[in-house]
Amino acid sequence: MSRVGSSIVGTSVKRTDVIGKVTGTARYAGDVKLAGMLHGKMKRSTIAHANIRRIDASRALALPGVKAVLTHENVPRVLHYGAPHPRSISVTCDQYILDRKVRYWGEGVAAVAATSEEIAEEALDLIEVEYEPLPAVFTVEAAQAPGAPQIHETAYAGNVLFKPVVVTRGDVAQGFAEADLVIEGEYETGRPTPAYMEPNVCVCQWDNTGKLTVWVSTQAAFMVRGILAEVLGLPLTRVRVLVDHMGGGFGAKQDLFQHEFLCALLAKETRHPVRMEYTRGETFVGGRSRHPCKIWLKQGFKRDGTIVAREARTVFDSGAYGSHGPGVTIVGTTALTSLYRCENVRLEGRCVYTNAPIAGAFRGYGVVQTYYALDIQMDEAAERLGMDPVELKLKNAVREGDMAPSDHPLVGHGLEDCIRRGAAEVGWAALRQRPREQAGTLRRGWGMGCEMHGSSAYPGIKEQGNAIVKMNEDGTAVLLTGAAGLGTGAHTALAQIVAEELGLAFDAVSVVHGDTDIVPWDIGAFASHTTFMVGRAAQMAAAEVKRQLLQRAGEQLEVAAEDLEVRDGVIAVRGVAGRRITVRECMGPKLGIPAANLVGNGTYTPTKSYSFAAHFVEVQVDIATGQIDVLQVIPVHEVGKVVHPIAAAGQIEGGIQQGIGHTLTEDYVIDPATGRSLNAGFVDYKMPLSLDMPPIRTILLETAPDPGGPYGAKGIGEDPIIAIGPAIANAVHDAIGVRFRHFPITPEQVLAALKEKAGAAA
Amino acid sequence: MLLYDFDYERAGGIEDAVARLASLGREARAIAGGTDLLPNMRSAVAGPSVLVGLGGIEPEPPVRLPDGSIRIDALTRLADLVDAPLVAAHAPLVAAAAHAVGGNQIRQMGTLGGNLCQEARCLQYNQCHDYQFVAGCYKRGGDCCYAFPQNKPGVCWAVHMSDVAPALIALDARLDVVGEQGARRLTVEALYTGDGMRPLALAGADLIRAVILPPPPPRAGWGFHKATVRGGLEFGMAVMAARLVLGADGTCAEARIALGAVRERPVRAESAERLLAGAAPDEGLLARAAAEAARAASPLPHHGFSKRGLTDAIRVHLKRTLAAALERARAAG
Repeated sequence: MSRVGSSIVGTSVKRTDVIGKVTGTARYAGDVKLAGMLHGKMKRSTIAHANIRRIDASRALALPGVKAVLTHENVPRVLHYGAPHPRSISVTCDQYILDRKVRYWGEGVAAVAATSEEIAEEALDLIEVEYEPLPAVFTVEAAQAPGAPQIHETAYAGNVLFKPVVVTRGDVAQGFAEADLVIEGEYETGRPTPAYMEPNVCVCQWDNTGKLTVWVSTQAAFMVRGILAEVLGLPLTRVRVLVDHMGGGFGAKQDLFQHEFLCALLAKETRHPVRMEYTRGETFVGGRSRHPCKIWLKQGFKRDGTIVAREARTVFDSGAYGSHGPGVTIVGTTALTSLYRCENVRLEGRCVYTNAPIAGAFRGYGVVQTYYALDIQMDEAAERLGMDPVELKLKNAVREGDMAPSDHPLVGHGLEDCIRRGAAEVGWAALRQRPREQAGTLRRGWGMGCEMHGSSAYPGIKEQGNAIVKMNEDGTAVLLTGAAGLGTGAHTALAQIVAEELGLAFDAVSVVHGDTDIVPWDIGAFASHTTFMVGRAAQMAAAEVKRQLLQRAGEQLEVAAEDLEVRDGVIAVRGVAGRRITVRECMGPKLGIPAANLVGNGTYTPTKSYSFAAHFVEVQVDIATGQIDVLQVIPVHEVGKVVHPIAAAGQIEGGIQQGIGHTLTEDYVIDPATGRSLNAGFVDYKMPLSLDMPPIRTILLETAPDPGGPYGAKGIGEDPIIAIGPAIANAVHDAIGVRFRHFPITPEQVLAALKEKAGAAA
Repeated sequence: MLLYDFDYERAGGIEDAVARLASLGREARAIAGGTDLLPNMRSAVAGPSVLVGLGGIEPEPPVRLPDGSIRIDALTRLADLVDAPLVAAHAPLVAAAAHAVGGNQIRQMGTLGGNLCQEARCLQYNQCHDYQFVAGCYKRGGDCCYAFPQNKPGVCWAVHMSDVAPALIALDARLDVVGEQGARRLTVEALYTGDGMRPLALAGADLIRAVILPPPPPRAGWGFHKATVRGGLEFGMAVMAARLVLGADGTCAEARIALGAVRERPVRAESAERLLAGAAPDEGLLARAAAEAARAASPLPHHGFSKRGLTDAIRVHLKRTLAAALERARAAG
């Protein structure tokens, strides 16, 4: 579909990546094949916490086909950040490529490069490692107990990563003193993992000038470049990172993974290109999960539903390394200042090392956990106040001018709009009055959950989006962007924005991305900010090109540039019929006049915008089996401006699928005695399938556009995974009267809770 | 973990396959669809150095024999079993069970015989073993049990997950087995040892050639249910199959109930069957029978499901399965 003019933003144009993806021609890092390429594999620890007493690679090196073995003894020992935006407060500097110590079961202790994957794998068994076992801790309680083994010397105190974050507003004691109802509860969330389709993979090659080229599946190519350069002691001109297509990242692929350093070093050592790819199991063990979290939450309410005090303590389990622990803890904890208004707030968030595999950034970044607690408690408060939960949430919903968690005022009334629209759509008031099933074993329930989420990581990170737009002499344009395309359709959205701004057809804009030597610097694709921030930068760059274009056209048409407009590839004098010139004519060479060289540079440093959503969910609970089925979801999202309706709905549907998984079936299980992973694979880690997906009727609102975003657009990436969880839990309560305060909620737990309830009633 | 190098010999027919397996000895395994064996080789829980491929042997289509019984070639793909009109007409329970296996891709490759001969499973046993559970457990030739450390040496509680076996037991099917000693006929129950270490009562060169379903009695009805966490691509949390035969007076003349994914072998619920036989089936009786089956099966905890959770699940789902069977039997009458 080729659309022109002002209809491009807001139209579901054909995505630039779909043909390549469905025909298999789209190139991913794992598709790269180079002459003489070797294959790398990582040896992983067989213990959760130990010092390496001795490591002997001699037998592995003697195996024919083995070209190099790396251990902690022959890799650079540089303490580095494991996650992007180094030197920000969001991340920790606590890891080495290979250390003399292992901190979780399955941590890399050595790497091999060989002529085939099979030989590399065989060689791993020949590397002898002698461990001096250390006591290990797998819960935040054990990690904080007196005498617990210290996992990192760089920690703030004991196993606490960083100075706990404390947020206070108003006077909590005073607020509780005024409350008519005080509710407190403890909430606990599981360990889902992002389970991206494309396993972590990279290919590294050094050229004869000593320059390293890395093909890698990452959300943050410039961060990979920066940390690799820092750790390997190279200037940035000697590291080039390439990312074409990606098969998902969901936040986790912001981190640098051990194999990426090792792959570069193996390639250097062997003077051959080296490829390293995780197995599916390694994407669990060596990947990044969500932070399991424990939340204590207490709120005070007036009889009319006004919230007068909120107090919370959160503890996030970071696993063996810090990764995004501080960022997740800060964002998740401070999110509790908002969503539902409250003037008296005291929050404390801490993040703790354990000897479990590493938790990291994952869609929803701490907020999935804390809003699960908050929204379930709101539902409970409504019940105890005798109020409709929709009414209670609407009454307390944040609105225009309220201070956001990022400490700047919110724009618009998006949350109220979502709640009202969803309630109308499902006929909430009538649903509340409906007769309840008494016969049989099936009980239906409706629930609602809310969320808000910021586009950009401000104020934790002062972000910056960049774009360069060049116009070709035939009137088409090229956008150069560093934003990664992790499968979200970001490049399509950016091209739409440029076409819209330049008055060109969508097809007339191409996108160059994924080469750190060519495209402008980029912070990485995360924090729901690509369309919001890079989109705005692209719009600014396009506007600059347009300014130059109209200047040139004005000279050709002998009118002032301000009197010109460009639409559908045609520049016309406003209000004057016939005085026109095509963009192509304007740009191209004429007798003695060379083609134009129009380049626009856009740089945008946003603060933050917030998107909002309310999810309405119907579930069915079989009280005989405990089985919970989600029957339908009506997600209402307020996103300022919809750039690509199908892609936006796709984000929402995907988030809901992931969120249903979080709430009902997915949990990456670590053996509490040894730290071994018990279900590191898709057979036993239960993601919902297409068969399990309910109908989803997505509603997109544009009622609170943010002046910071292009055409008012705000983020959408993370939002849909947040509200679905509490909506399901609240619906389960509506169905069977049992209040769950954790996820995932399993059938066995439902049955046990029903038995307990029956016992209490008897 | 990558698949290791192995030799492959393509069998020209079942007898040829038996002869090859016999001469190759313990290092060889037969492979049909490979949907169970190949993943097990990758995770190093199976390690044959030679595979004798049955893929070149064209299965005979399901056929109705003169005595009314139905013969299904063991090499029939599960997907073909689901679609076969003869099976749908005369043994819909088998079609339902075959349809419950894995996903469509698995059913397109996996065979009836292969499903019956799959290896038992356990969460720890089926992990990769290159850095986790490295030392072999009893079943892998080692001297520990990760799942049940308190078990006596050599006792393995890996659970047999076949979805089809319970259906065949409920239908009183027989297996045509060929081996070095020639052909023999087994009940499906006799295929399983009940020992998680070595769940199949077959010699190394034995192959199932065909499954024989006896002629369906009049006034018979079936029920089947596979309890799972999600809608597909699953091993069962618990699998149940039942056939009820009613007498002319509406009482239960015969009941056959079998459970899968509960123990080291598919389990026939004989004490529950006895409760039903000769009795006038009603809601209460079905519930009692289901409870008895759940109790008698004494399910092993597996894949994160507790014994109590599994017992509850069997009790509820089996009652529904029996109710479905009763309804069909009444409709058939």
